[in-house]
Amino acid sequence: MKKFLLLCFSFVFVLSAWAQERVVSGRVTAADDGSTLPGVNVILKGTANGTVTDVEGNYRLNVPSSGGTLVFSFIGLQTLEVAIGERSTIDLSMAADVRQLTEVVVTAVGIEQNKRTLGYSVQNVKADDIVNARETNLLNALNSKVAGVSVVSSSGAPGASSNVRIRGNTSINGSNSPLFVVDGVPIDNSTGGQGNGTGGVDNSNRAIDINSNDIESLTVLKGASATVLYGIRAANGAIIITTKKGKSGKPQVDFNTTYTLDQVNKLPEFQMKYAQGRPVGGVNTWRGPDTFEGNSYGPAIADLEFDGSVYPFDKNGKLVPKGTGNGVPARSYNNTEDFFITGQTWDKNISVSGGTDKSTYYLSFGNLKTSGIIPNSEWERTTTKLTTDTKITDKLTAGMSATFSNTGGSRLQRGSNISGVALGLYRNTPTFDAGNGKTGQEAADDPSTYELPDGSQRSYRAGIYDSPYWTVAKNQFDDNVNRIIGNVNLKYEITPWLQATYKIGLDHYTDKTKGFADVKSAAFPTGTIVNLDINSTDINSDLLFIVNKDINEDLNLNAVFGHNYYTFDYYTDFAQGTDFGSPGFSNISNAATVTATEGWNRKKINGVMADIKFDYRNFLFLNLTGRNDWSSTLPSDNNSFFYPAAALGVDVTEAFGIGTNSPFLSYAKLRGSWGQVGNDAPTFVTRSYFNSATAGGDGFIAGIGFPAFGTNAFERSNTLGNDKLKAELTTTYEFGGEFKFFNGRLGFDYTYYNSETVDQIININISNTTGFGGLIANAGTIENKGHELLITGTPVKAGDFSWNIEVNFTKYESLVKELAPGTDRIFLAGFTSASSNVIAGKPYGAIYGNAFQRNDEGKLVIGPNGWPNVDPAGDKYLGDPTPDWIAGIRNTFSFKGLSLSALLDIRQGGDIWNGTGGILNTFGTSKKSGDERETRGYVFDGVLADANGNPTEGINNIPVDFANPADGVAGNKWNRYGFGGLVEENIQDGSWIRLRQLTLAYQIPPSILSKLGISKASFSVQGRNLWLKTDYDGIDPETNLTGASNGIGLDYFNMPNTKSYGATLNVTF
Amino acid sequence: MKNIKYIILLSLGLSLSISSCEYGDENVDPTRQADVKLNLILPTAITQAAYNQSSTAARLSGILMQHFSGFDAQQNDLENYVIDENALDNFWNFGLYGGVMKDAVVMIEKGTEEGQPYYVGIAKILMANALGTGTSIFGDMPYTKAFLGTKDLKPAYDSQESIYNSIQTLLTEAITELSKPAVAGGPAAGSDLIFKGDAAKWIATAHALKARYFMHLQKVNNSNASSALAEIASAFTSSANQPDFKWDAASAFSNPYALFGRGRPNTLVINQGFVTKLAGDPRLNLITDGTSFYTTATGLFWTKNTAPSPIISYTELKFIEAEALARTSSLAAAQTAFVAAVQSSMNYMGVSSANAATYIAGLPDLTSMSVTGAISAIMGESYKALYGQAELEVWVNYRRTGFPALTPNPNGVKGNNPSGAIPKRITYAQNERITNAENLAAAIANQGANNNLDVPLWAFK
Repeated sequence: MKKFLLLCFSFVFVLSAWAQERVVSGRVTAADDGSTLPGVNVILKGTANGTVTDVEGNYRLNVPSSGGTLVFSFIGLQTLEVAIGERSTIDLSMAADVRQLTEVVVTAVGIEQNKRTLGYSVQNVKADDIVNARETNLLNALNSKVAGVSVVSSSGAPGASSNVRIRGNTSINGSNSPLFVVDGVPIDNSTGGQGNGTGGVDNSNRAIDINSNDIESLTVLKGASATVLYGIRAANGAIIITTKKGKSGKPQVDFNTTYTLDQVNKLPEFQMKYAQGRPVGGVNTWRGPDTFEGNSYGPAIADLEFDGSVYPFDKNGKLVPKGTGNGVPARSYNNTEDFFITGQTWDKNISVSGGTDKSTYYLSFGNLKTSGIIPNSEWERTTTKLTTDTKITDKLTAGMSATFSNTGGSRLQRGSNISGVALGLYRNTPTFDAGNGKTGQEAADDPSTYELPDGSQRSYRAGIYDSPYWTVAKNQFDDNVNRIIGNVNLKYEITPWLQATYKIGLDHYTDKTKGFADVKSAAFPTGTIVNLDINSTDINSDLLFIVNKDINEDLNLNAVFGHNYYTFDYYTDFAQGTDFGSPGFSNISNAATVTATEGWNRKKINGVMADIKFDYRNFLFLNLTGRNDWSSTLPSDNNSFFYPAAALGVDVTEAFGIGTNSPFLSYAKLRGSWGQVGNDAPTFVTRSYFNSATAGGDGFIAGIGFPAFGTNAFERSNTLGNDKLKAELTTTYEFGGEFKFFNGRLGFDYTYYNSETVDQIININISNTTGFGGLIANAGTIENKGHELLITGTPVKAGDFSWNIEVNFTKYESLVKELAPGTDRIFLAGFTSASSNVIAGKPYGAIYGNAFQRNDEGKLVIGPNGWPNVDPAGDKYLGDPTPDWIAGIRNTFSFKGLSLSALLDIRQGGDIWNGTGGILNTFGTSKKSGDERETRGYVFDGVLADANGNPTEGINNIPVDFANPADGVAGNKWNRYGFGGLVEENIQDGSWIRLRQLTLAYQIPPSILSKLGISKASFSVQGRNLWLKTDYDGIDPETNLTGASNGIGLDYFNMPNTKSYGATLNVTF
Repeated sequence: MKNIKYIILLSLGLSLSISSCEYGDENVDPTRQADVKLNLILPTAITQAAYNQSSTAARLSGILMQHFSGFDAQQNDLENYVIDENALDNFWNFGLYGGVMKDAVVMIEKGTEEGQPYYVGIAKILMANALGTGTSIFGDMPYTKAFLGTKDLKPAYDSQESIYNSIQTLLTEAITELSKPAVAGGPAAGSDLIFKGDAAKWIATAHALKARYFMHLQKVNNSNASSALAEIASAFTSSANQPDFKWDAASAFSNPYALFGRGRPNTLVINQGFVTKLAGDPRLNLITDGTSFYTTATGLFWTKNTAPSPIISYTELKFIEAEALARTSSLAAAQTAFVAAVQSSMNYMGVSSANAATYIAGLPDLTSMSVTGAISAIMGESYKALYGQAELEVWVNYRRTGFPALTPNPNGVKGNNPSGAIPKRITYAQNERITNAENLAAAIANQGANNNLDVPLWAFK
């Protein structure tokens, strides 16, 4: 492979053939301790001719007969240029780069800056830290590594979306997702397609199309001052990704491969004691699948036996009371554990990079294929990337980069959806063997598991819910994305202090999704097929003039002036067909009725910007920025808006002349900034429309969508447009400092920020009796403030051994200060029972639902039958889904080539509605309902209600039985308050501590590798989510029903999460 | 010289980059229209009226009236009177106010502007019908202050009495509009999904609805029974002329009962008490297989894909007539209407004339009864005949007359239903509490001491 690739690229070097007439050699040592330095790059300046020092620090290089300059470089050390002159031996020592204490970060519009000179908070994530996480979804690799950043994956399904937030949520109807920028080109990270509502499948967020292996560095820009140059699309912060480029020198081939096994990491607990059934005439009675009934409130399994009759749902027959059958005892089945399988992921990447002093190239190919913990679920990503840069003249550089990716897979139904895998699985009664004697993939592959001889479904309710095996075998969902992200860029040095750059970028993808439910599926007995094709194009153009000039010897000016143009077009073609002619044939031609719609969303933005930075004596840094945008989504006479920012940074150590070698304080910087970011409106809300009509309003069934009955029809949109809208505005101030002590062995980086968003453009929920359900207006104020702390330390560094600690701590709260006049609540996601909302005076995403009635002291109010009453005032605030704080703690131990790294992830607080648990109680499959159902004579602690239901002083003394067969199913504790119980009963704390990542890596010594012609190689084993401690009694609380949407804290038959074990081999030739 | 070349190149780049900030129609949604003609609104308004007739409110009424049993999940909650502000939230928001009522308002406005009396007339009938549906479930409703958009974001509620007055006014106005001469561009066969543009049939329907809504107020004042009779005289005189909405055989456009039967399988079943009541009735096998309310797309009469949804049926009208005659005139006259009502039901459902005759021969003789006995007998038969087509009216009749005698669910004692009675009203929509709280609280206070399900509505007290 290597030879083949070398052959492919050999043409690049034909041009760089060179007359070689003499040899120069020498040894490179470290300035501080005199140790030899292996791996230092030594290049003859202006050529591709170069080498690296060996383990002894020695090098040898052929050079021309006269002249020439050698360039010595190594990460973390100062680069040295040495004229060769007449010498044949050049020894030298290299000193640590003082800037090693800080780091170079890529800030807005792709400008590299020294972090030391910034007046706002940014944080870098090293490429290794991303790649070593071995996450399919790039977003998950950021988890607990950056202060202020939270990531919640929607589930452990292959290709499932993740929800990333920088400093929490602020926007009500708009996106809260940060802007993703790849090599200066903003890309789409939407979660489109079908699903990630409360039902459907787990979709991908489109940043998943990025191959982590192509990433050179990733910078998180958090506040308004940092992102102002990116304009409104970065109102929620920005994640700036710089991909790898070739370096001058001979071709370097990197190869890595990872193999990972995934297993389900946490499941709800189930009861294994009671059979399917319910009380009949006051006696707990077995009621089998043929009754269609879903309850597991039957007799104790120990009291039942089989009757040996022919029964299509069980080869042992029906269940009858002990002593009346054939003596074969009834048994329970652990259907849930039996269903999940071990998923596998195999990731392979190869890249070739190199170049001459005139041009560089980086070419990569990657493929990741993963099969999920659910049978028949899979996802694959194939990427190929080419980046080249060429110096056309001394002053003009041209470059291009293009990444093609193909992603997609087979996904499975989830959530509130009677075809949902988890729904059909968790509700399954313990006495029904869903796998029919088989488990996992084997059961899914055998139709007799889920189909009866007459073609109807074999499931514990005879097809009321789809058998999970039926769903994975018959209700396929496939998506296929082809995407190209690329840019062409030009850089021209007009004068030594003025440079112009132009970059045009494209992000284009098509996403073809096909959902299918076969004939006899629970929800679509006549079959349905849904085709959705998405065609999305983002074009981004940036023209920048960059000034870098010393005004006098104390003052340096660094300025950027630029123009940005952005256009976005998103087309959808949707067709749904029902009433199949032939079962199993998943083409729209199979449908007798087809409805189709066509969508087109579009917008354009023009922006001009200026960024001026003064550097006074290298310790005082003042940064002034401003941007004006013209957005097509705002009313045309009000579509221009300006927003400024200012930031000040002071390097205290430099100001007071404290040297980097000072024994205590090595570095101290204080910073403060203030900035604003505007935001435009959603598209097409400046006026009202007539929508394609749907006659609906049921909540349990679909509406009738027109065209229907041979005619088309339209109705006035429920949303009232507004031609007086103005841009939203977020104002953020932040201050903080960065401190390093003991030669950098201990560091702190702290930030406090406060941001307030006003004039949010929201769809205000108004009474439908006005003729409209929503009104678009500027309203609402959300305040978001928080603390971010990064601690780095090296407690031990002795010889070859070192121990490093890195702690990220994030605490923030998003408080809704006010909404529109008269509206105190806006629905984000969920159900009419439990939902995530924006409510004045409450935290963002507040969970609302029905609750028990309580008196002024908070005691339950008990009705005449001894059961607590439901609050007649309606639903109320029950939980805050935002954690109190989150933290990531990473310990890394290194000894010679061996390193062990453990990332602990802590989340404190953050409520979750365990809707799954409530339903499992109602059906009687949960462990709780099994453990507590024999409770008799329980007296609720509370006060009695009077005849009108108002609380009295009387203490309750009326005993109740939790599940007395005489009361029927409807009278038991878990059914009397309705399906799933009260929302209040199922609000749980989502705190956790988990071992997010554990990696043991070994760098194979160069002495061994050099014999093999390998320059670098490492081997590592890693685990993810190996340990989880939480009080949440459902699945892993890192979950969200509605994926990357604004609604948070909901769990309703979500897919479980995974833990994984993997091994990686990295080789560099 | 060389530099100039690059400067030109850069200028080209600049011109490429900078473009106009005038966006023209960029922000005009290319997928939606700013306005449409009346004939494109009418189909959805009519469909919505029919959908309301046979969907969530009908299932809830049918469960309370023990035609159906809520067997599982949320339907089982309704069976046990676990009914809160979520029960009909969607119905209020998207079936009534954001559905047919909004469409009607738009059509009345546009039709008046454009001089299209028939569209205005049909819209007023649909509005009256929606108000009648709403008020018999909830009581007080916003109407005179409603549909003003930003001019009144928090509409006050009209009393139930005022709503019933508005219903009669709307229907009177509808008759006036529909009696005007036809104009070009009036409702065509394709957009009037019920009567294909036949104004006379709509007028007859308006009279029938007037009769129904007068009869709703019979208990308030018995003179309303006489008013109902007067309207029946001008209403349609056969099932063939009743306002039937015909659903499609394709499952996506089928009767909402069929949609529910397929999409939420076995969460709702036929009530066994009702099956018992139908013993020996030739309609039994057309209504159920003994356990299900829905079997297949082509199965049961009222729940197959193409099952009709009559806005009001001739059968219902004859039962109204029988009751009104029994209350105001003679039981003999009532008997004729009573038999005609049952006969109409049999004919409509396709029962053979022999079987129908046998059944009718076994009907009680009203003339031998007390008025109360006669009312009970009429209600007993209307309870069977209105199954699947007018569930809400069965519940109205029950609350008004107390017939047929039904036993409440023993598990129905709840915090918001302390008496355990069959609920007498449904809690207002959650969205109203969130968006229009003060007016809602006033409406609740106007109707009773609390927001409980066992507070009777003014009309049926």
